[in-house]
Amino acid sequence: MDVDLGDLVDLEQQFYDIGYKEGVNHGREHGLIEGRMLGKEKGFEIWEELGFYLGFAAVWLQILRSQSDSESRSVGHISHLLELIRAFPMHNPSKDHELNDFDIIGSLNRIRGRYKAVCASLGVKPRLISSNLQSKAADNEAPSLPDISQEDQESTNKPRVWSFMEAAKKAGTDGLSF
Amino acid sequence: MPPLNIQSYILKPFKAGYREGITFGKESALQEGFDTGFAQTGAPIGRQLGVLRGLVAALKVATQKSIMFQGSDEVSVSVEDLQQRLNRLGLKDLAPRDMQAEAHAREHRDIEAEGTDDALASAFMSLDTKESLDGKEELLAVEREVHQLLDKLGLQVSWPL
Repeated sequence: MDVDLGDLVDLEQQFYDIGYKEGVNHGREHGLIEGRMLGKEKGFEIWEELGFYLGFAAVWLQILRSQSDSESRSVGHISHLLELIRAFPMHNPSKDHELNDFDIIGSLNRIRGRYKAVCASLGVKPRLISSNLQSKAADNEAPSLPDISQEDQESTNKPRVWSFMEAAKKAGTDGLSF
Repeated sequence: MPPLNIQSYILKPFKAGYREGITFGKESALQEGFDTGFAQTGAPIGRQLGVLRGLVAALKVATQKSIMFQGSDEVSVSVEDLQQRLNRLGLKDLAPRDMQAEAHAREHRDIEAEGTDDALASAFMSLDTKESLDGKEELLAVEREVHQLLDKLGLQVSWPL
């Protein structure tokens, strides 16, 4: 039997291609799983914080109104805070054309600043803002109105869209990489 | 004529292709998975828990500052209780299990049982598979009690926020 060397090279290529195709399918499954784990954590972290402000502000708005104090500075701050949070997306805006220009970090900073302003105008100590602390504390002890407020330092040069790579760096590889 | 060697003409290229493919496939799907987990699980659950924590925290401050509800020890006690229960809840208690991940972990375990070397199986086995039903029920119970408390105090917080 004649075996053409070219056929053999072709054979190699064919099996490489078959392997590649199967590998892509398998890798895709792992990417989805790992991405979901990280996205879940990031979404939880961000919205737990925003939800807290939302609930906090909603109660205080009612308290102030019930004291017919609806002209106060606090009410203005609270209304603005609620507005900002309601405009904040519940999904990653990377693929959303309407929200493509949404400035996540800027918005988050404005919300935090407004929340602190609300607290100051009410004479209340703000909840500690620390994303690391929050995600770690979720299991044992969540932060509940601690004493010191803290500036979030890391927020200046982050990308505007939540990227997987960024979350992965924070979370570590989690033992799931190949 | 060289002998047709299965190892070098079939298995080796197949494995090389598989390795390259897996890397490409994984990297191209990570962001999609991230967005899904963010929008479908993390954000809504975080928001639900966060709102309740915020409502309760505001009530706590209001009672402490004696702005409202003066002398109502009963309110302080329920607020304290609700706050502690909310603090015990985290993402792991509230997120649904990732069935696809678990099914895939089982596949890996089966392959490993056949002798294929794959360290992934053990990594996947450590996936959190805690039954989440209790956490969700507890959250709903707390939510009901928070609403009852707000009603009782005459605070008409428009719901859903």
